[in-house]
Amino acid sequence: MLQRLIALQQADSAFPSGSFAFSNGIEGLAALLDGLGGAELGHAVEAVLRHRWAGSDRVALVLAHRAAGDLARLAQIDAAMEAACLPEPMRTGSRRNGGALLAAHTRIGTAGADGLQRAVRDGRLLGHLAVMQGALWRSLGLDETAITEIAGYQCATALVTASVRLGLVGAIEAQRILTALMPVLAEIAAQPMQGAARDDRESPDIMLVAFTPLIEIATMRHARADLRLFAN
Amino acid sequence: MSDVGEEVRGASPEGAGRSRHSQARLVFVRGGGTTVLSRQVVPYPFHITRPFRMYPDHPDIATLYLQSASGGLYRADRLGLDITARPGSRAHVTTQSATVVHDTGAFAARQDTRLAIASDASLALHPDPMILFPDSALDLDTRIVVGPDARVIVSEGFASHDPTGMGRPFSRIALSLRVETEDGRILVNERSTLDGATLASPASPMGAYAAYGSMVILGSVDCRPDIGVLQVAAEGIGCLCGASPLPNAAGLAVRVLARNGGALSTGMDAVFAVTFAALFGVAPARRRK
Repeated sequence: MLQRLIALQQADSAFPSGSFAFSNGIEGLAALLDGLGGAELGHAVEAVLRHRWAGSDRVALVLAHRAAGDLARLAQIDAAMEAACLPEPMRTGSRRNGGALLAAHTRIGTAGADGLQRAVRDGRLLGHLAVMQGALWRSLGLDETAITEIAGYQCATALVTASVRLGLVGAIEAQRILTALMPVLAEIAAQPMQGAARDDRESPDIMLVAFTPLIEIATMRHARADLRLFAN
Repeated sequence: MSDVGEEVRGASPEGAGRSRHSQARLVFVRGGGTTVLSRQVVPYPFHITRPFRMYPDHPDIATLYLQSASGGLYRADRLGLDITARPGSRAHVTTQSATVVHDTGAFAARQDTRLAIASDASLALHPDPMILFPDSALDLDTRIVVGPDARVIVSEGFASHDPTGMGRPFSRIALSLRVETEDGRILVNERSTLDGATLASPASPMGAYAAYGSMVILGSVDCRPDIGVLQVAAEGIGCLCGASPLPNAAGLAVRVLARNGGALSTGMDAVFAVTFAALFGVAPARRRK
């Protein structure tokens, strides 16, 4: 019961995770497509979940959870995330969002958060969001299934919430889109992970797989926009 | 720097029967005020022209056309291309046409590219896109080792195309790109996969586009092209383009989406022209087709 309550707290949009500052490409996509209606938004979020989060962020998340606080291993996963994310706005957004999550946990007093923050500050860790989520949520005693559900859900809600704030869809339409995406998330959560077998803890070659060129181009172009609401 | 050569990589997949294994190797060196091929191993289906000197004011740049004599890639093909650019050499390797990937059945075709660019060397590898026919599967694996002050342009791309006009999709494509320093520090390590059926779905990660190209531009900040100019160059051809700094200060990444292979090829050429001028100090000569 306690673990489920902690999971709810971490997934709650009221938790100061710092994600409100990032649209992760939605603002840029809306500019590219001259608007983004409900159907297009649902497709865009599904593409991110299936073709980026599933094979990249989810893998880093679970590997970080399995690292059990080993800073050297977390640094390997962080470095792999950095090398695998070519669009700079997504890369820096992931690090900044990870830093904001870490700051919140440090202030709350989550076990291990202080040590992670010191490691980020002195350059031993980069602090990518998925890596921080995996490490912090491990400290809170959440299991792999729970952290996968929370992170996947937050990935989808962050994109949809950004769309509401941009006025692309209303709150009810946003929830309709999220409802339609739940089976997609459940399907992804049940997929085996490339490069994340339980016996590959020592493997230096962490396999992170992603292919989302349309939203990547959107974030690259958004970074050069004169006027923007979100950081990426 | 040592050559990047390995023996032919990868065995035939079990059950694939007879398949082609072919490994080409090229070594560019600086000598006599120009760039020459000091070593060339070019087995079938590879074919190369002699190095051309296409820039009277820059005689140190060698331009080489790499061709396939076989009409494309087929089931279980294993092709390898290793290129080494020794210190001070400057080479541009290109193709004269797109490569068709035919129906590969249960056994994907594979092309491995290994590039080693030494300190103060420049290499541009800018092939035309891969054209993925229905039921084709392709693995493209590119690894680049860069020395200090090396300047590198490497592009790749693909387009889905059904010559019967029935819109049948390719099977899948897997792209892998790794950039590392001579002492083994990984700067970029990107893996991507896409199946053809997904490309036709409304939730395609390419949106409504059917062709994708990417380019990495490696080199110090002072030689890199302007990101805005790159984007405008591709847009002028009707492509969608974005560019941004690569991880670990390695250079720039460029992504291009286009409606079809022809538009992609033209758009990538426009991006390449801007990039080549920035890194080589001269506009690229028009390619002979």
